[in-house]
Amino acid sequence: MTTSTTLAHRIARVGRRLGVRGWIAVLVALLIAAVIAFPALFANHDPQALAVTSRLEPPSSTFWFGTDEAGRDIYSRLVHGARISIGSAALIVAIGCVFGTVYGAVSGWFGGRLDRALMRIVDVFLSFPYLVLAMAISASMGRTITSAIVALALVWWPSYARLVRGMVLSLREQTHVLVARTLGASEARLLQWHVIPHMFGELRTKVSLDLGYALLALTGLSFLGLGAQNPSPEWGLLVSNAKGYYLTAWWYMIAPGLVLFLVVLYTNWLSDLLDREDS
Amino acid sequence: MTELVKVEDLSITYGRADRPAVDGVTFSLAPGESLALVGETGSGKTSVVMALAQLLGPGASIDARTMSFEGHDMLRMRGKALRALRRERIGMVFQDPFGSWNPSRKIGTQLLEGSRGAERQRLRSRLVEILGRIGISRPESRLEDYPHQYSGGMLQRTLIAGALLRGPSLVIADEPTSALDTTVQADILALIAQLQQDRELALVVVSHDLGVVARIAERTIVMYHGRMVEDAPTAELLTSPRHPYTINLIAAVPLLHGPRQRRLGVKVAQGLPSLAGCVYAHRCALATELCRTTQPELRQVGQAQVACHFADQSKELLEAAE
Repeated sequence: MTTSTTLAHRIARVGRRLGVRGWIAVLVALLIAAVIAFPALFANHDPQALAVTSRLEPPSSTFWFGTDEAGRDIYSRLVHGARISIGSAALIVAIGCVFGTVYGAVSGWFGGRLDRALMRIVDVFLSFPYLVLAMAISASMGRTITSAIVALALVWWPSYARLVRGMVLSLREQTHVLVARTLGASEARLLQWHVIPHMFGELRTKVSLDLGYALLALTGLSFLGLGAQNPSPEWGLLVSNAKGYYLTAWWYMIAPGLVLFLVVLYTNWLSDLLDREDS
Repeated sequence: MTELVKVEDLSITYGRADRPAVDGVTFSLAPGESLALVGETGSGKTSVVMALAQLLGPGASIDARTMSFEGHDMLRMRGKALRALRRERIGMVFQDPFGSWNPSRKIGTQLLEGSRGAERQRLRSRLVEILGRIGISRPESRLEDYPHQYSGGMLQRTLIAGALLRGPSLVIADEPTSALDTTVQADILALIAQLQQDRELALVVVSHDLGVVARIAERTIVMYHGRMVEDAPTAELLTSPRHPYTINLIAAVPLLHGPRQRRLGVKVAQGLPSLAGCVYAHRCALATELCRTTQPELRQVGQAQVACHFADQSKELLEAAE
């Protein structure tokens, strides 16, 4: 009946609950985080060093994933590009999630006319194909990675607003919210203790899934020339640069494509894992 | 002192103005009086008490000539004042003991919601005292437990303790025993009845169970399709019901002993009732053209108020119609 609350106990308990798949997920997350934080530790070449003598070399023990048309090491460029690509994707999801959650919570909690007005705005956003809308916004703001991030964050939040509003609508009718209200809890406390914590389960599933989607959308924009510009090692841009060489240097396109594929696969798997954890 | 609660002509709609969930409900409650609202699912009984405590969400629109509690106009109460009034003067108990608690917070934390500092300490010791009195052993340590460590009956007891914590003048219990085992039901009912008498609380209990009503309410209002059909002292209502709906509601209660009761002239409802006339007309054997076109007002018959054109002789007429 006594619940141990010391930190060591908590960590041990979490560790037991994780299981094998959980541990793999955590280790991969740590690996990705390390690559983003300290790319120099993982790269074995300067990602920007030009070498005319070693252009388009196939994978070897020196150049693990081969080299590109300017003789730059593709592996090192991928490692350094992780920060830009995954970091930007995380930023997009973070902005979209925080803004969308607050927006949706306000809409669902206060309801009535405000809710209807706020949700019509969301409808407008959701009625556009999001990637086309993002392309238009990004193109109108100039072709930089920042404008791609802003554009994607702008089209990303409405799905969170819609999801959170729905959850708030159902949570606010729960009897325990009613009871807390009759016992004198303020609106802020009701939201803080009775509504928001109960949305974490679904939010974390969507966030992890969205990390992969945002990564694809961002690299897509870069591929089309609307995001990062040369000589950035952003992944979508790498694929874009490689498209002129795919007949002669297969590794050039395969390497960034495969890395993207694996990262998105990981986010999908992670989301599935978190979803199962709920039930 | 005059009435503690006064409600006149209360109407509640959810979206559709032409189909009110509650229509023209009028009653008052003296301090210390116990009243039951009875009716089937969807009759509007819960909506009435939720509106009284201003707990309905923005989806509901409430309209009334008067809706007052302790002299406060509940129609106009908002924000902090409303929260303070509800916290200090009204206690509420709901149907589902498991759903009434946030599963992720300690019982004590939830019960002491909305208090801090010295007041919190005072309320805490008072809470321990109340919990002990209503049969929770080791109340001090039980406050540190989470809802899943309680049984349904104990959760409901604890909720009642929370409702009484600040010494309210009115307790509203919405189906307080429907989700509980029969033996636990009896305990909880006895507890509510005793507390109500000890503390001179006014009590409004919402129920579909006439057994519950008979045990704890002095007066009973029967609702059908959002309207009051009968308002009478409980003993009177149970022994000589006047409205055809009440007659059949009481006849529908299964008895352990004695012959099976006969239900009198019940028809299967055809569609929704017409709001122009009596809402029960579509199921009533006595219904005439008058019933379908003219809405019967509540009128005094004996000790009861009945909304039926044939209230004086409904029972005889129903038996004759059989």
